[in-house]
Amino acid sequence: MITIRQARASDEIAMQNCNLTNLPENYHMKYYLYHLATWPELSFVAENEQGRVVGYVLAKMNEDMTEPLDGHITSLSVMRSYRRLGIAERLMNQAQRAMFEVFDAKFVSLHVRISNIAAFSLYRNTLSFDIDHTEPKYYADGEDAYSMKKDLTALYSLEQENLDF
Amino acid sequence: MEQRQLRPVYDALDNEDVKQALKECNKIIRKHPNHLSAQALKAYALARTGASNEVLEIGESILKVPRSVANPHVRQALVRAYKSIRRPAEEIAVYNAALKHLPDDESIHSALFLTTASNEMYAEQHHAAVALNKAFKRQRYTWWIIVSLLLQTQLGKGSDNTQLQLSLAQRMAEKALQDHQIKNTEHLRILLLILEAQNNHEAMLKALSPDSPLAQQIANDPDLVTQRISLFVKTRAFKEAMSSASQTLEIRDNWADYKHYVEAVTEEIGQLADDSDAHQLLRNVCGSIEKWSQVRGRARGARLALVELSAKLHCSGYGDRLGSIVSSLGDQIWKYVDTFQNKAICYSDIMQYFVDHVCGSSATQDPSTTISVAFIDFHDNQLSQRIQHARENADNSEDCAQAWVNMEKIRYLLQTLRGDNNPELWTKDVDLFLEFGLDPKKAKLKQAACSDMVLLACQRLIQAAFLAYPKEQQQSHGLLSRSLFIILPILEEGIRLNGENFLLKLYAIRLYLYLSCYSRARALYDTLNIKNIQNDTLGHFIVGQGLALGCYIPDLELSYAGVSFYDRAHFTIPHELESAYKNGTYSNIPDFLEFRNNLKHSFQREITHRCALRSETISQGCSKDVVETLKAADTQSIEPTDSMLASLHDNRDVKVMGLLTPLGITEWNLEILTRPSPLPTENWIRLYSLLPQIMHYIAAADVDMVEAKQRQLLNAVEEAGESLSAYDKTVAHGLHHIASVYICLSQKGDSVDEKIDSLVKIIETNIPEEQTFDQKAAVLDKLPLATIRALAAATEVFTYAVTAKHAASSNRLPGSNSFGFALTQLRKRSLRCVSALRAWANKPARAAICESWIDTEQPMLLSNVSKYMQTKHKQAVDVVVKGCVDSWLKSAKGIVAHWEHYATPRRSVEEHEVIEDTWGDLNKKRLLR
Repeated sequence: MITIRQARASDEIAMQNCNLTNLPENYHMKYYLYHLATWPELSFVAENEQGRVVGYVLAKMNEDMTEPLDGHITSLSVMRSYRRLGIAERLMNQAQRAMFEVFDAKFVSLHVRISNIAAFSLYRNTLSFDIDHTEPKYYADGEDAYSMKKDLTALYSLEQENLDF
Repeated sequence: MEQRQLRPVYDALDNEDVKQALKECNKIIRKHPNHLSAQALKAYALARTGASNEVLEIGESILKVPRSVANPHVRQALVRAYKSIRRPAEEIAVYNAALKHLPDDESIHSALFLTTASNEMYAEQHHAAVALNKAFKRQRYTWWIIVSLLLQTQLGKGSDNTQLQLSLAQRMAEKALQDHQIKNTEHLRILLLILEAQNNHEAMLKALSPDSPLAQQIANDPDLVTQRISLFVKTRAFKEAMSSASQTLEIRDNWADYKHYVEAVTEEIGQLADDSDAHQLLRNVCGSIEKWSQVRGRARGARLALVELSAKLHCSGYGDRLGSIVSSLGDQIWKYVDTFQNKAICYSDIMQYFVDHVCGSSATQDPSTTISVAFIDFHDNQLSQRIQHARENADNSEDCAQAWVNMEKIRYLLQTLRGDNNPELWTKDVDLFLEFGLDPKKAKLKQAACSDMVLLACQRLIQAAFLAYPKEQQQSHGLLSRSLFIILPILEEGIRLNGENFLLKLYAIRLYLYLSCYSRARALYDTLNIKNIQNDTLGHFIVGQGLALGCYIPDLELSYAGVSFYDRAHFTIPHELESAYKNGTYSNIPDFLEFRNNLKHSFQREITHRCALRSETISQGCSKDVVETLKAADTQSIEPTDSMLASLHDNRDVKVMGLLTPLGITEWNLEILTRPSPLPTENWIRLYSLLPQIMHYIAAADVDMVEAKQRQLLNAVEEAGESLSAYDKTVAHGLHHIASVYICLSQKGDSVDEKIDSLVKIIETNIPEEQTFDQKAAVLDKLPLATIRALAAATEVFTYAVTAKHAASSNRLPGSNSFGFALTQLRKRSLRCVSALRAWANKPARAAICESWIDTEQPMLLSNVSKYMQTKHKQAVDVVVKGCVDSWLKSAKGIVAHWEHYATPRRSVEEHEVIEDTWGDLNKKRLLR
């Protein structure tokens, strides 16, 4: 069973093991730590009952200071045997909510390989992202990416949380 | 003006051309001997070459010049130089010197703070923060003081003022909270850490209460919500814990919250004297869980919570009292399996509950001690009602296939818990798994389930092989080797059908290494694309194995990749630590420090470093130059002190192999069974730290130290016992005898010939007779498990022996000639044997495999599997034959080349051209300087 919690530096070990076969991208330690040191509220891990990290989302705020502020999903990964359980959706929702709550983000964006049909369908059908444009040769191996975007304001602004938790 | 003069230096440094940078600096210094910026940049350029002493000398002379570091160019270059050679005290001295002249410069104060913070100098960090806050009075600096106080108490050297410092930090943080200076949960988390350090749970609950100014952020932060519930449980406020958990479970599905909820419910029931109250409470709880299970996507968590609740109630002895409301753990487990059997994750979710039920929840370490046979029979009975149905329907859909996989995993677990040691029971039905898992059409449609089935088949067969041919017999006959060889084509075919399955690759790597096939194992390892931190966690699968199998250069490359990762980490983490202070993201700081510490004192780091040192020494062959290199080497830094060994942190991932059984049952732990050699321990590190040290003292002709280190070596080997492999023991004994010979030569002892004979005997014992390779079957009995490793160990010892001989000759020790003569004779005899191995691997090996392992009529445990694979998947069998033969040949060539190139730097004959470029790179990376 899964617990979603904020990512920590020591999770980097588990996050990269999670990437063993899931992603061709396996970022340098610097990049993970940079995210955690700058926007610790935005990155989350999914931990199984043995405390093993089985998925994660690494997210950040765009740094060009343009208005409106928008967040960006850097990397999302769920181990193969833990797919089709809604973990990616939970991780994404948590990150998006934090972007809105903590940084007042209005949009969230991401890139996805045009060949990654499963991920594209998750973003478009389950998480309601739209294609903003296509970025040619975005990935190091020359593959194009869809740049996808989602409006966060409509999602959370009317939501009234019961604070008596 | 200064900028213009320095431009060529900066350009050269930007281009990583240190030589040019030094040239430009010297040019400026020749014209302007007092040019401090050029001197500081020269220090920086020298730092990049590792010339620490020169850097310190230049730095000292610059600091003597009044106001020198008031110049930002000088200051920055000097600080960077000290940073490069890891001298934080000198860095701090630069900033303190600068502050004398520029006391109001906030950036220098700030840099001083960050230097102390990133070098774990907690007391100095606190002083720097106080000075900053006093001078500039910013809110950020108040928090720097608070964090410094916390770190000083948690990580600093023992202080008498811990409570005082924590109280002060608490007061400052609470005041900030009252003044509404706490704007986000980052600050709040620091306050919570301070309170936790004082076990002040009540105050933590207050800080997390709905009255907090940060209530909204807390409510949306899953960690803080969970922390609040756990605090209620810790303070035995079970009603509040239940209420809080219940509210959060209405909107979230976090397993940690379910666990706390169930714990609180169980504890609360224990406090209720009246059964009807307990029944009512339990009915309400079950009703809530049932309600949550109806929400889309939440059924799994809620249903598992019922299993957890049942487990807890039965464990606490309330099972009989409340059995009418929550059914028994066994029934709950099977209800869960029935509902979620088509999910890949079902087995992982439920495995621990099977173990708890059969063995009792306290038996996690060694479940075999408290097994309940009645419960196993119960589960066997439940399983038998379902497994046949699952098998029959597996072809229907991916979900049905997954259900079968889960049932088979449960069968595997129950067999383990029962302690089935009949190999036949483990191979039963494997043919069905193979028919299903290796069917290309099915593999296309149901890839995950098919790969799982292939893996399951291999896990069963490996288990059966190790049960049939126990450890004590493994070295003496080839049946285990043959069995593992038969399993390999299954893994190869599975990998061909699903190249992304890392588990199949990990098992294949392990089996190939077990059979002494380094090259094929390495090729598979390379496809895993292991990099960055994975060198630390997964490097243990292969680092050092090349050395043990005569593949020195590939092993050295891997070791360098590992070493360079740790070096990068050393600079990366402090940089991000500084960012955390600058960004005010304080919650990560203790975690960053712990993470850095775990990497800095990583077990695998020390192992990789020792392997690199050995590979470097061996790869230089038996040349005389190596004596000079060893003489100049700094071996003090690898002194294996007790405190160093005690501080090591083990990041090696030994759970990555997808085990189906609890780690505690070691006889059924495939990760342990398939290790080609024992996992290195502290004793291994001690041994391979002493090795370069002894060789260094031999090269430096320091006989007293050789004697001292030899004694340490003996103690280390004795203490290590069976934790060392046969290879390590050979190296240790060989080194001990080399030291004895050298001491005897130095002291002009009478028994030198005797000692040389003993050394030669140790090496010769590990070299097989030349005639061995005439008998095809006999070679295969021993080669995969012993011969190549023994030969490689003999080669390593021989290399050190020749180096010691060179050292003795260069010190003009009498008797060094007879030492050299003995080694030359040994070399002649050994070369014939290792050449015979090469010749055997080059041709007869393939035929030997076919005759003894494949086409043999001799019935054995896995004969049927072997026949099946030959008939249906001949190509995979061929891949394994080729993989084994090629790998043995490469090992043989590596070893032969070493003995052939007796007096010249060793290069693998076969890889000579390929490695030409690599060799150049490797030379740049050398650790032995």
